[in-house]
Amino acid sequence: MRILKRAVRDRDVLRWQAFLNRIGSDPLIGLRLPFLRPDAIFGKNTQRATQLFQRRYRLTPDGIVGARTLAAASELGFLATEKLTPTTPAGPPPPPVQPPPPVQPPPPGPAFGNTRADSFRRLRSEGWKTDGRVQAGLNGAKAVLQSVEDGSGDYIYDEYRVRVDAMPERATPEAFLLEMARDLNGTVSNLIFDGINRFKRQVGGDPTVGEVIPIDILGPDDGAVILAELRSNYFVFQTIDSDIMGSHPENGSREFGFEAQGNVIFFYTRGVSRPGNIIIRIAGSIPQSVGWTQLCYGIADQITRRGGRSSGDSFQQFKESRGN
Amino acid sequence: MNVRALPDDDNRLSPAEYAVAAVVVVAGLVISAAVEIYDLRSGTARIALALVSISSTFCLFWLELWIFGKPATSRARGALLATLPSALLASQVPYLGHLFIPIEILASMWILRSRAGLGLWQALLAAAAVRIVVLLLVHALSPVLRQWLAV
Repeated sequence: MRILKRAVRDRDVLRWQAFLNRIGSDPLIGLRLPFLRPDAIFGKNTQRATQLFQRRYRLTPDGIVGARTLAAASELGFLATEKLTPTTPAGPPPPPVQPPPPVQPPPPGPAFGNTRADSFRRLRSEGWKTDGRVQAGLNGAKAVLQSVEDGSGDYIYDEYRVRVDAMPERATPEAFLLEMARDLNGTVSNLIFDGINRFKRQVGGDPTVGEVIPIDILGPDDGAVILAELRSNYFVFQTIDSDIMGSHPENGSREFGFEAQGNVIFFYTRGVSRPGNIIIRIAGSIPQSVGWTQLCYGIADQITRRGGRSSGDSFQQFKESRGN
Repeated sequence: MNVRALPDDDNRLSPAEYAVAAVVVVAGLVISAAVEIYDLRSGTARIALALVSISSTFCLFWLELWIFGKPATSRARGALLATLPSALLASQVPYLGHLFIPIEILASMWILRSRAGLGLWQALLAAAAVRIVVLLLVHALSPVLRQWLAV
């Protein structure tokens, strides 16, 4: 394949645009690229998307698709999977092709939104109950969801968040979040958080919806969660009661994500939960609060260590008890 | 001379001690029935495991006091009363339960000293050893019971 750069027009450009559109919509890759009109012209937008791709994979962001960029793309399946619409190289630009289907079709409405209200609405409704992947995961673990409905007392709505003023160079919030989904304790690397919650994934690689994750919780009562939703800007764990692993002290779900507000990003965890009983409500209140606070401190610390700008001083907490 | 064949002393349980022991043991069983401890859904299984915990604690204390050559009445009194600090199952409270383990050990140690006449280090060793063994036993039995009930 020839080198692709600004103003080049041919089938290879079309192929490259299809590739960028595919990976740009893949939540597991977490590279949010603007959708490119597949017109086989290496224009300004294609150049920008190429530069974003290059930054993500630590290549020189020159916007030129050369040997090293192609090598990185090949590892993501480029050439092997990109389908082309037949075109005539010497003729006029080919007609636009349909974008590839997204990996996970977005549900309607606010499901992808992640303001605090969006998250609480999502966590309270537990819309993933009917998701076939979640059901399959539960069946495999001989488990049931610990719905927030089945807890006792008031509903606890909480949010713990930390501000990130700048991500490290060549890092994206999506990639950091995916790293958290892969290995929460390893990514956050905070000893106090580890002492309260240690998530022990049983499989390596990218997480998948329906995956069951045992947790070593402070004290005698351990638990497990299921990965209920995975998006490019958030993921959700729901507690489960398993015949094999027992139950989690809390009923409900917790979201981990980031929210962009202007030039800053807030990494957060939000939960809607009800403890199993009054004893757990009393005993769990402080460890829960300390654990999620330390998670945020860990995020700030890791982003700073990697060259970004964040401070534990920007930590904020919101907690509210509601009757419903 | 068989040091364990000591004559009985006058260290019998008083009626008040019997009453306290009965109340605490019953309270522990009620707690195990009402609260989902041991990660077990079945209330019957939780009561059974609580009974295993309480009875094995008593038996191990009794055995230790026998090894230390205490007379029969001291063995019974010391073992029963030293069992009570852990009979309320505070160490099974989610999140914070393990924080109660040192308190349970210290309380049992104090009872072994005052009611069975053990020395400080003997009492501490005896109380700690029994608590650790029983906790390991319960932690081993809990998943076995869970899986057995799940079949």
